[in-house]
Amino acid sequence: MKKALLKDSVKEIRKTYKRFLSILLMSLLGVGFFAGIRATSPDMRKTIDNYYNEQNFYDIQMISTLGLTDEDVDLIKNNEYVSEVYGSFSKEALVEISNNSEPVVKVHSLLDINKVILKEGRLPEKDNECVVEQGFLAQTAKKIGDTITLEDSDDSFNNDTLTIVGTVESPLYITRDRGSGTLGTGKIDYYIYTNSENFNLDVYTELYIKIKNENSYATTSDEYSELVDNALNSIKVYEEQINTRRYDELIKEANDKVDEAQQELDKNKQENEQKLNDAQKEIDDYRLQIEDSKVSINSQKNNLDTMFADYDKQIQDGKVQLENAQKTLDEQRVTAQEQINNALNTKTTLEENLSKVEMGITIATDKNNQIFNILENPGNLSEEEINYLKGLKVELEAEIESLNQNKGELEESIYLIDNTVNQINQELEDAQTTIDDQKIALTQRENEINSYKEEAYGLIDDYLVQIDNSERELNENQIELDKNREEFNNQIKEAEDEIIDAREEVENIEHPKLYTLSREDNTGFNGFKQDTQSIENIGRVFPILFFVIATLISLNSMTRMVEEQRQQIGTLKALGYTKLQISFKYILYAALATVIGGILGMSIGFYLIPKIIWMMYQMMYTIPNFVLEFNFEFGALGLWFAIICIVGATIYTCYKELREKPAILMRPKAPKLGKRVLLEKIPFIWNRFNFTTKVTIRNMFRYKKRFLMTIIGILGCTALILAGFGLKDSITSVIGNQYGEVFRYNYMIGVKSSLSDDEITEFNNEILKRDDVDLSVKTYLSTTTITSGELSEDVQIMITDKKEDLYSIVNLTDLDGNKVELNDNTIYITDKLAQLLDVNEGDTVTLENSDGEPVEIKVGKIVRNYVYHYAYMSKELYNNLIGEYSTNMLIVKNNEYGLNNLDDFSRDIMSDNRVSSLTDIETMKSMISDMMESLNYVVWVLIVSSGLLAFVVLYNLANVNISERIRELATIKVLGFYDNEVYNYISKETTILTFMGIVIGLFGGVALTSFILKTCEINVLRFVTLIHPISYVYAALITILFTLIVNFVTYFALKKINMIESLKSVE
Amino acid sequence: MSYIEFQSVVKKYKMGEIEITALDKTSFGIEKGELVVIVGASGAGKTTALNILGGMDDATSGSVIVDGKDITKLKGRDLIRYRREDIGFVFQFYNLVQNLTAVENVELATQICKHALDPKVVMRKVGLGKRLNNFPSQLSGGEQQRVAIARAIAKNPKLLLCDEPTGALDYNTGKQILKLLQDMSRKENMTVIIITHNQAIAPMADKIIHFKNGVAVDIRKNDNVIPVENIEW
Repeated sequence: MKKALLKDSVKEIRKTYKRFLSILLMSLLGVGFFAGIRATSPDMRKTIDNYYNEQNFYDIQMISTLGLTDEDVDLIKNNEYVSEVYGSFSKEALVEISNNSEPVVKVHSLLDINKVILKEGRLPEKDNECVVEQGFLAQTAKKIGDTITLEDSDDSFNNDTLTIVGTVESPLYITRDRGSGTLGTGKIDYYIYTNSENFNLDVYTELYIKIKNENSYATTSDEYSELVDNALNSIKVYEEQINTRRYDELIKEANDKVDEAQQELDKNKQENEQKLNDAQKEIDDYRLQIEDSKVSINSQKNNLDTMFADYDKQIQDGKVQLENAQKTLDEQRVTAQEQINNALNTKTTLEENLSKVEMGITIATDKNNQIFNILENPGNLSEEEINYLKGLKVELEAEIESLNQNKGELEESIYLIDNTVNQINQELEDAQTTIDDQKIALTQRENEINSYKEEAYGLIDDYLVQIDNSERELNENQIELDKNREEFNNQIKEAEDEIIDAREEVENIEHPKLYTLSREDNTGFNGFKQDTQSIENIGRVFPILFFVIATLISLNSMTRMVEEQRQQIGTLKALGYTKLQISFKYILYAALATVIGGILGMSIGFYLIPKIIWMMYQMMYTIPNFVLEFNFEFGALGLWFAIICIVGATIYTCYKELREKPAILMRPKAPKLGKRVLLEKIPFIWNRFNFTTKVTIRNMFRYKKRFLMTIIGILGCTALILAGFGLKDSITSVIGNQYGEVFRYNYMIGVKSSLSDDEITEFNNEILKRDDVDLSVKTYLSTTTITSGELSEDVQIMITDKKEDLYSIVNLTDLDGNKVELNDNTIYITDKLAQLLDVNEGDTVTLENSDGEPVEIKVGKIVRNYVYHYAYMSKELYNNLIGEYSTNMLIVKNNEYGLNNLDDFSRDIMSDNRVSSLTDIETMKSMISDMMESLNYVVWVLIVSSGLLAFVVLYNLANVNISERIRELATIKVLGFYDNEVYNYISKETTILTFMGIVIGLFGGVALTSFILKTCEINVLRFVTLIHPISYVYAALITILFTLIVNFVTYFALKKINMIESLKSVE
Repeated sequence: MSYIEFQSVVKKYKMGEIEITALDKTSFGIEKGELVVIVGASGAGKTTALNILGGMDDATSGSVIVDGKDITKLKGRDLIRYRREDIGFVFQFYNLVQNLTAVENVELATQICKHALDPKVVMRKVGLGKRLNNFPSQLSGGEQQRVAIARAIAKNPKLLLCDEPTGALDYNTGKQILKLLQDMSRKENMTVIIITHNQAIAPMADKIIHFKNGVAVDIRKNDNVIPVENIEW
């Protein structure tokens, strides 16, 4: 290399730094983008690998529905692959923050595995402390130092009230998805960590297993997968043992409990029965006593009765006697009366005589008294008369005397009579008195007896009342006792029923389900890995296109450069320099630009692109410490590409020029000849064009290479931008397609396998009756393997009892969109599955029947589907071919009311104990759309970088255009074209080419979108190229925007053109 | 005062750290309708003076009055308008737009001028009435220069500035071009300024200006104008 040439080369670079920079920039962009995007995926993988290593992330996770024990830990620890086993607790719980905020948290135990990263505060020291994720504080307005209370209905925690002492990040949750559970709406909102000791659980909820030597492989590597697969297979062997042991243990525990209860019941029963019987006996004894009393009283009463009867008789006899005596007396009395009466009669007569006598006496006495009185007082009475009177007096006295004598006699007779009568009367009276006395005595006696009687009977009656009372009391007691006995019997019955139930329950204890999972089964990790794959796939296509365009543009620049310097080349050649020496300058120029640009690009690309993509992914993933690696290997390929293309193009151009003789070279290259274009032959059109248009059209066809380059450049950029939008549109449409077009339901309710068919039907009817449900279909859904030749895929088979039911929840259409109906002899499979299995309608696929034997079945129709693989067949066919099934899903479609109140539905269903799982389409949608969102970010990166590329391409082309036509432009400037006229003169061309490029680019974009979609399609997804009209508009507008920016820059470049310099002379 | 007046015009260029004085307080005047030939060695400043006069370059100091207007005071659009309306340029290398036919090259100029002449008429005037629709590549050098002159005069400018119009042409063709320029000046009473390093053609001019080291050292009226066809060199 001659020194002069080297000097010349360096000078050249300084002189044409713009061109040098433009080639450098192109190389930078091409290599940078290529290297950057290719390095992103390894960087991301490295990041997660580091993260998992740092946090001592598990390799294998074992979860049992019934828990795991220390025995299990020991068992697994002994496995040859296993280095460490950690028993871990986790439990979901509700945290009441306020009335309408009750988030579901998953409480984990802090362990040395899956170590959390402390973000703020400190880790728990005491058991009543916890750390939470940062989002928890943000959303609940709690602070470090506040307390939260877990709703702990089954006493799983020793401390329910925990003090928040810090915030952490958990490697278990690298996405925003916190998993699903059984509380609330079935979605877990946050995780929190507390000490293991705070868990009051007998068994571990999960085991985390580290395997030996895992750190020697990256977690995303195939070697790691293989190692884990081997370990998994080896550990899975224990599953049966662990399950059986746990099941037996539980059964035994439960049985023991039941037996204990039974024993207690029996004892209780016996004791109580004894008591009851004793009481009964007491009652019975008492009753006997009462009966005895009754008998004795009755006999006493009888005695009394007899006694009193005797008495009564005696008295009666006495009475009769007395009556007889009376009667006799009365008869005597009558006789006596007669006598008396006779006597009285006599007496009466006597008395009459007596009266008469007495009267005579009285009269005689009176006459005597009178005479005596006259005699005593004789006065006027003569003696005669006195004598007479005396004579009469004496007579009278005599008579009186006689009369008195009579009278005496009479009186005596009367007296006699009276005596007699009195005597008789006395006798009668005496007899009467005797009788009366006897009567009185008798009555007295009777009274006496009666009072005795009364007394005795009173006593007896009292006694009887007493007995009656006792008896009543006794009866009451008996009733009470009976009641007690009944109650007791009921209780016993209940208890016995309970025990029967308990025994039944024991029998129904479900066999534990054990899940042995690898990192791959962690949805976050899996998603992340898939994302790195998507980026890798995109990294295969996009940068290459980028690269091709960048290379083409550089090539254009170099060609221009060589052409510009043909005179110098000619001179050198004339001076005798060799071709190689002459070309060297250009090769060096190009190589320097390319290599410097490439290395700069790599440096920037390795740093910037992964960083940008990572930043976007950070919206989805919580993984700290992104690893940026300068992995020359990824960039080297790009750099080699760039060197081969750009330097190769330079060599080619030099060679082409150097073939010419120096003399020809030294003359200015004959400017491209002006030519008429085809259009000029149609004067009708041509003449309508104004002057500049004509010039523009001629120019476009004159510089065919630039024409093509511009169109290709614009085309490529438009296509890339459109592909960016198209990818976004197509990818986001998947969800709508699957859950709007194909699946027409809202919920998939898994029912417990312990439910009988009738119970499921009943449950289904209950759901159907809800006022927020439109439809509920009993469905069988199971995952199975479908095979065709060497190819096999997992597929979900969906079967409803009636074919019509299936049509209402799944829109079965063939690939042309026509509705199809199931028949009874073929299986319908989804199209991605058909593609993966390489089968067509009418081909045969193989399934396994319930006995594990392969059965062949013909594919009826291939149906549209976008997410996962499904197979459909009729119940009859399934039963015939594979075996009986029992419904395990209820697929629910809500009505309009229900759609507005989905949370209520979720809550109701989740609280139903017949439900084993609930899949909510809305949640599924948002989960998948989250997954898709990350792709969106990548797409945005693409759109922005394509835009950037578009800018650089256009700018470069504009620059070449100006430099190539600098004389022409200077000329028209000299002619007095205003700046905008000069601009129009040149930009009209660019504008037309841009539009042509855009139009073709839009077509290219559609093709590119399809191509990329096909390249990066995930196994379980079917992407359909769908580009919204607005995306075409965006793609076009962005390109136009960049054209405008470039034109703006061009405007000033044109303004700056130095007419004198440009026109000075031809070199 | 002359139609065109250069008054102590200075032009300095900066080439990195070196300052080059292209014009050093030069002054001269040109009358309307004169055919002026400026002669001088390479680097004497004649082209610079022409460029300043043509509105393609600005003076560092001094003033240039054209038809009573100081063009050194013109800026941007006004300067372009001055070029557009008042100036016709002819270059050594024609600077035709290759992609346009001869008449189109003329049209390129006329379409932007208010008082433009009919391109076809002008083409006939320069003797190319039959070559209207040829592309420059199909024309000989002389013919191309004729097109360039036609393009310049079709604008009907106040000044026709020609920088080495015959530099790339053979003797006879050059002569024809100079004749054309002389005829233009005579017939159309156009002010024509021709730069050349060929002193021999000076006698065809009405005025001859000698440049040396950036200064017009000799401004001489030629009383004995010789028709071009009679000049030999």
